[in-house]
Amino acid sequence: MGLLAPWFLAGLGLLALPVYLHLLRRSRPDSKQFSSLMFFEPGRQAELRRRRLDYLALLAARLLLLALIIFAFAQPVIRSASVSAGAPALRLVVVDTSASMGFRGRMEEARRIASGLLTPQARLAAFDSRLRLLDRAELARLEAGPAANSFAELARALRAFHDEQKQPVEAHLVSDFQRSALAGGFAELQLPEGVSLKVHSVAQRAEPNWTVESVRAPARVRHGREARIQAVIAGFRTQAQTKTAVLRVAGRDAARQSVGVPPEGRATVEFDGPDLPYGFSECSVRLEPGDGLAGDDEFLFAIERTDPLTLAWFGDRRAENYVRSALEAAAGGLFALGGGTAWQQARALIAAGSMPAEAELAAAVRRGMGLLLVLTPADAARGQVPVTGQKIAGTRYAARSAEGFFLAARTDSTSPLIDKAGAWQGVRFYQVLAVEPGSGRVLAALSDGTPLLLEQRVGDGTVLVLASPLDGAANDFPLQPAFVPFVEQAARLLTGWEDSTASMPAGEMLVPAAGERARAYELLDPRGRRALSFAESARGASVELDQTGFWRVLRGGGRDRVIAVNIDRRESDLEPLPPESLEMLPAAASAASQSGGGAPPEKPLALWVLAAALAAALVEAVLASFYLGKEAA
Amino acid sequence: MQQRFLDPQILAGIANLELTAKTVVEGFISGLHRSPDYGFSQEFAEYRPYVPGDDLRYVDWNVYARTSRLYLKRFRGETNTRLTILLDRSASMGFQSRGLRKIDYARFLAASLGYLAHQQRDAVGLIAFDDEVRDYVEPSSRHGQWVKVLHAIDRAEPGRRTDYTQPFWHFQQFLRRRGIVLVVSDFFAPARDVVSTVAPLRQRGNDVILMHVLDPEEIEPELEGSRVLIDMETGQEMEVHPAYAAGPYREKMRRHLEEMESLAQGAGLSYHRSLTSEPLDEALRRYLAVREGRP
Repeated sequence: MGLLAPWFLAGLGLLALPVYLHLLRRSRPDSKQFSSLMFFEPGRQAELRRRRLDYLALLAARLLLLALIIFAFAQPVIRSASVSAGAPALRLVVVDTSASMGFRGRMEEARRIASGLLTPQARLAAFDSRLRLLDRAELARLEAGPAANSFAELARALRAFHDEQKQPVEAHLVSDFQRSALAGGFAELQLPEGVSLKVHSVAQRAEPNWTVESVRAPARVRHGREARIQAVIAGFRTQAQTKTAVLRVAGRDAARQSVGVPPEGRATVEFDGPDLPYGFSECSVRLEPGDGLAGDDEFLFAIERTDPLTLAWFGDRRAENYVRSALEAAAGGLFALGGGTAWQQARALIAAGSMPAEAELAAAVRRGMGLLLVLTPADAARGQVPVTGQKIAGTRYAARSAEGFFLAARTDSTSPLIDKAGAWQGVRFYQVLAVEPGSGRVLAALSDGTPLLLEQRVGDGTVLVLASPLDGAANDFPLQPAFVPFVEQAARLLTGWEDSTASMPAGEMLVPAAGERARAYELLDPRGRRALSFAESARGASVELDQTGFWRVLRGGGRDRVIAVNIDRRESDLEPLPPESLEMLPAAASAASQSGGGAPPEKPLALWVLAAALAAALVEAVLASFYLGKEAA
Repeated sequence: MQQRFLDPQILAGIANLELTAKTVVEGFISGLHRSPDYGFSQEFAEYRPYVPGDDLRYVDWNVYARTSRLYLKRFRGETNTRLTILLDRSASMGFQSRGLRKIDYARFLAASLGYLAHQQRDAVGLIAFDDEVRDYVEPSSRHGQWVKVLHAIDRAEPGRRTDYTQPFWHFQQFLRRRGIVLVVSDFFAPARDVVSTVAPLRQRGNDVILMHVLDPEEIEPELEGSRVLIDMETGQEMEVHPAYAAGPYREKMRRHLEEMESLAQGAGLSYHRSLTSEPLDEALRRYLAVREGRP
């Protein structure tokens, strides 16, 4: 048996407290002079002695309780014989290759230290957001990457490595040990038993560093000069300084501005819309002059200039006017409502009472077209929803109920169709078709569960079903403030607008939804090499965005994307852990495996000790209650 | 108004013991509306109505002949008796809960009675004792006697444990003439032993007054929690629970007091209990009652 935190045993000194309270204080109550004790019989005082003995039982229970609690804090463990006990420890040299290691000189120092640690039997690994085992020869070519490091991921990887090797592991971590990397505390770096950690720091002090922390720019614009770009310039451990921010578009400087950055502060710089050509433009904001960590001096992003996205309209003119007005008010010309003949070229279709041939429409939807179905009484007569096939059980009229109207009582606020439309508060519905949702997602419903808005995937496309007509009579939705954001969000969803993510940090995984052909795509890395094929993405394979630059997602049908990948900005703060924290790190991370990995497996006993403490607490409570009652009597 | 001067708490504020005694006696007498100097000498003092039991020798028959009422004729005193004060100065007399120590109360009592007797020209003496006779002033009515007695009272501070046997054997050597013997003590001894020790004084013709001085806490002790009580005379320690102090102890003390009173009366001794919280007048009244009973 051993203790993981033996210093808590110092708390055993607290045991003196109940001893004092019970024995010393009770055995020597306040004394008092009295004329004569001739009327006090010693024999009668035996009762007191007996009671004191009784109290000794209570004292014992309390001492036991206190001791058990302290013991539990000391984290007792039972060490049993290990299969790897006595086996020599395998040395694993882990070199931090996170972005911050790109600061001048750090990587060279890391390579030098690692080289000294690499014994003939030692293994080499690189570590940023994940651990990669390397050949020893790769040490000389090891460079800092763009990702942030994660000590939690390192702990997981070391556990897996240890399980695989089935022998003690002596891990040597060569890193700059950024304070920001351990924001979650040492708990992130809980190493498994049998793994010891030794730390080698290459950062001696907090280095000043400027960075373009973030850029706010639209992902898609109709006209080239309408894009306003805001960039935040941040300084860590820096003095006040004037920096020049350069906006670059397609590899050329488009604009530059000077900005004064306060000490250890932030400043915002804004560029008016550059002249963007049609299609994707690779843009960036870069700081001049650069500093020791060049990777975060530039922030990449992409803007797509496009013609308005067309939504085909089928239905009555009154409803069309409502929807057209809402789109013009909200999206600033990014969406256009088109006629019926060329509907197959549209990104999405809205049907409100009439529609193309259902079979053709269903096929188009399965290929990826978005569809908003606004149900009408004619659909109720058919008994099912077109394309999705959901059953329509009938029509509900609010006029027959006492309230006179229905309200949207149940809403799914995780959907922007609801959230950005104020949860449809105040919208009165007088006529609702009762659709059985089946596998569809109910986004809004009446208080009795009757769906108002459904989302259903059909093939590659998305279908929204609004169960109440937009004719101005069945509800007052077009006249309510919620209507405009609803129409805008519906257009974004159905045209795939929401997929236009402009930038992501390096090290993130691009994860498609498995099994959905709608997510099938081809991924090209910044060098133009295929990182993921259609087949792989269709199977749900994921890929790590491990390079900075512009990644292209090719999906066809005008739905391509460009993802700008930047260095993770958590790496920009170069302040290392204080030396005292660094000294504690190995102990905190592997308190159970301090003996260089030769320690046997340990079975924690704290829960059992706490259970015993609970039992002692119960005994104490019973005894105390008993004696208290006796005293009161 | 005068009665307040008999309050022990007020008396404790008077530094001079003689003044204390004087204040007590004059306040007491003033309360009685009588002269402090009445006695049994040939100098006329006053008349008082006859009550059954009075000695018919002192009835003024001339008054009876004129008024058909019986009056006793009383005279300004000349010394005709001896007062010997036996003052217990054992360690237990040093006990004090609130207000006065028992020894202080006993000294006030002794001084006041001594002053009263001195004013009546009685011979006054003092014996202070614990387990031995510690101080002795032979009773006398000579000039300066009162000062001697007063100083002896003033010197009486709590000493050692009480032992009635040895001192009372000595008393009998000193008390060769009859008179009044005033025993001021807390009588922390078995009642039968106390009375059997004192009773011989009565058998030798003395009028014996037992002044039982107690602190209220000694009769009804109140403990807030278990306490270790230390015997002031023996140093013995004993842990006492409040329940015992509130129950069995009080019962034992009550029986002890009853037994003291009963045995004292049975032995012809006058017994009076004084609590240190009570005024002194009742003790003075008791003394005068005994004093009047003497020829």
